[in-house]
Amino acid sequence: MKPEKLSPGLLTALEDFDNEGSAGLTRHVNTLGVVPSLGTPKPPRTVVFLECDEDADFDYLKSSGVIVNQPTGRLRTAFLPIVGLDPLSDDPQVGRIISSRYLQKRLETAVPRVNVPQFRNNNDLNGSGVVIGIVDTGIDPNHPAFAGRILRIWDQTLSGPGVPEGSFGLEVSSANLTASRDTDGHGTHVAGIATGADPNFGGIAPNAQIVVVKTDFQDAHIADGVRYIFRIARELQLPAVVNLSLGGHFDPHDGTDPLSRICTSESGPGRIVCCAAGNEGNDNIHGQGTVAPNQTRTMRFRIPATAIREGILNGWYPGNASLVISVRSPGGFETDPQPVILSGSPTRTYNLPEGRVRVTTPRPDPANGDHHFLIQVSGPFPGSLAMGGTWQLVARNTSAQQARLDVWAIDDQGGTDVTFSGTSIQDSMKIGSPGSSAAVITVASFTTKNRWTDIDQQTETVAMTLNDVSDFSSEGPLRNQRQKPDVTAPGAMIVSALSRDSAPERGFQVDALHLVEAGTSMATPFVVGVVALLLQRNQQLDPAGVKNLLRTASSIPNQTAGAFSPKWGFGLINALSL
Amino acid sequence: MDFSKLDADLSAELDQAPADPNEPVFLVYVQTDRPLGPAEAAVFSRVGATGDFVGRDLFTATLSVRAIGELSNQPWVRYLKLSRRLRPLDE
Repeated sequence: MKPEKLSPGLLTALEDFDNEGSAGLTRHVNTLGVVPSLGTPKPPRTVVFLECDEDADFDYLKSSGVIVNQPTGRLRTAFLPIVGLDPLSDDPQVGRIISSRYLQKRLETAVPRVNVPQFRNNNDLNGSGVVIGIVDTGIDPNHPAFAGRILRIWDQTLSGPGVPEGSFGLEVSSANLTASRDTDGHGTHVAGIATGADPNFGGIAPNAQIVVVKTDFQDAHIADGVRYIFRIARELQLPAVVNLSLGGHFDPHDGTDPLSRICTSESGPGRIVCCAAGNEGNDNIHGQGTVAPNQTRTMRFRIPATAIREGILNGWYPGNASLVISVRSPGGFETDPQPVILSGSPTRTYNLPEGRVRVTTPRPDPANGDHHFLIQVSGPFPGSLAMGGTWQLVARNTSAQQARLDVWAIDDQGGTDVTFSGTSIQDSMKIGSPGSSAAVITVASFTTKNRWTDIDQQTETVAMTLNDVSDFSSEGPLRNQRQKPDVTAPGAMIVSALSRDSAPERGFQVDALHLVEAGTSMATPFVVGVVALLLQRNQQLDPAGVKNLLRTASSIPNQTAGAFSPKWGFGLINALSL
Repeated sequence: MDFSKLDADLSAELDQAPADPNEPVFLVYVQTDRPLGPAEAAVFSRVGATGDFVGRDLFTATLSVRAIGELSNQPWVRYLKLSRRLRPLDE
C-alpha cells in the first residue's frame, strides 16, 4: 500500500474500513463513490479517478476485481473492491488515486430554500389539473421543459384574426405552436420557474397546463390577455393562475387604473392573478411633497444627458385641492403657471429655449376623483432629445386644502432614467399597475444566490446581499396607503429555461437550455407555481383565500409572526407551512 | 369632445392628433355606467370601434379621434383612458 497516492477521502474511508469493517463505510456512502456491502456477500467497492501513465496496462489486476474503465489515458476511472486499493497503489504506473464524489443536483437553490420539494412530496402535488397563464414575451415552444403542456399561444404581435378578446394577433396550438417564438427570452424563463419540468432546474408546478399570451405590452392588450386565459380555463373547466411579470408607472398607484381593476374583476374562485412588485427599489422615480394652502413646493428632477427623447412626470394629488403647475428648465426658463383647465383641451405646449414642455391639467380623474396631471419634456425640435440637466416641477396650492403631491418620473421607454433629486425623493409607493391591483398577489424578490458558473465555466458574481430581500425590489404601500406587496419569493439569481430563439449574454447562460436572471419578474412565477399547487389541492380557492394561506406561511426574518413591511409584504414564503 | 371624460394621457395624445380623424389609432379603455346592451353596442359599431365590449362595462377598444369624441358625449360613457406600454420586470 502506498498511502501517499490516495486522496484524503479515500484514506479516511480505508481507515474506517480497517477499524470497523463494512459498517465503517456507511458514513461515506452519500459523499464518496463507495458501495458498501452490508447484508451481501460482495465486498465493499469504490469508484475512483486514476492518474497514471498514458499507456498503463492494468489488465493483470482484473483477477483482484479491479476494473479500470479506459485502456489508455493519463486520467481514468476505475471500479474496485476497497481492498483493491492496496495493489493498485503499489503499481508504479499509478501516480494518484482520487475518490469519486457524489455531486448535488444542480437544483436552483431557490426552490429548496422555500421548502417547495417537501411541500410537493408531503401533499403529492405537481400542478396537475391547473392552468398556468403567462402574459409575457412568449415562450420557446420547443423547450423540453414544456413539452406536451403548452395548450395555446395567443401571439398578439403576429398578424391574424385574433381571438374573441381582441381581433388582433394569431392564436396557435398543437402543431403550429412554433409559429410563435420568444426572441426576448423573458417569458420562457418565467414559465420555467413556474412550471418547467426539468431534472436540474425544475419549476414549482411541473405538471400544470400552460396558456401563453405573447403580448406587445400595451396594458390594454395585457388586460385582454388576462381575460383570454381565464376564458380558456373556464372552457376547460380548470382553475387558473395568471403570471404578470410586468409593470409600469403611468398609473395612479392605487389600484384604480383599468388594468388593475380588470385583474381584480376577473379574479375569483379558481381564478388568481400574481404580479411583480417592480424593480425600482434603487431608483429615485417617486417624488413626494406636501403643499400647504397658498404655498409653493418645488421638486427637482433630472433628465440624463443621454438619449432620452422625452422625460415624463405622472403627478397625482387629492381632488379637493387645486394646484397650479409650472416647469422650470435647467437654464431657469419657466412655463406659464397652469391651473386645472375646466373646458376644452387641458393640454398646453410651451416652447422653452431648452425644450418643449407639454403640461396637461384636466379636471379630477373620473376613476378615482383625484387630480392627475402630466408633464412631458422633449427636445426643442420634433424628434430631438430632451435637454439633460436638473429641471424643476413647481406646484402652487391655490386651495384651502393641504395637498400631498405624488409624482412618478418615467422616460419615453417607460424606464427609470428620469429621476428625482433632493428632498422630494421618496422610496415608498413604487408599486405600479398591475401590482397595485387589490385582488392580485403582488410579489417582492428575495436573493438566494449571488454567484454562478456560466457556460464557459467562468464564475460570475453580482453584488447582492444573500438571504435578504433584494434591494431592487420596489416598496409599497400604495398611494392610498393600502398594503403592498403581499409576499416575498426568490427572485435573484434564478436559473431557469432559456429560449433558444433569444440571444443572452454568455455570462448569464448556464448551459444550452438554461440561463440566470433576476427581478421581481422571477419571484412572481415562484408564487404562481405555489398557487398552482394550492389550486390543485382546492380548485375553489379565491384571492382572499390564497392571500390568507400565503400570509400565514410567510415571515420576515427577525420579526414577529404576522409582521408586515412595505418591502417584504408578509415576508418570505415557507411552503411547508401551507 | 367632452374632455372631462378623458384622462390626462389621452387628452395629451389628442393634442397631437393625426391628420385623419377617422383613423383608429388610439388604444383605450372605456368605462361605461352599465354593461353594454344592443343599443350601446350599435353606437360602438357605428363609430368603428373594434373590441370585445358586449356585456362588459370596462373594455378595450381601438378608436379614432372622431369615435372618441362621439363616445365621450354619450351619457352612459363614464370615461376613456389611454392604454400605456408596460415593461418586463427583469433586473
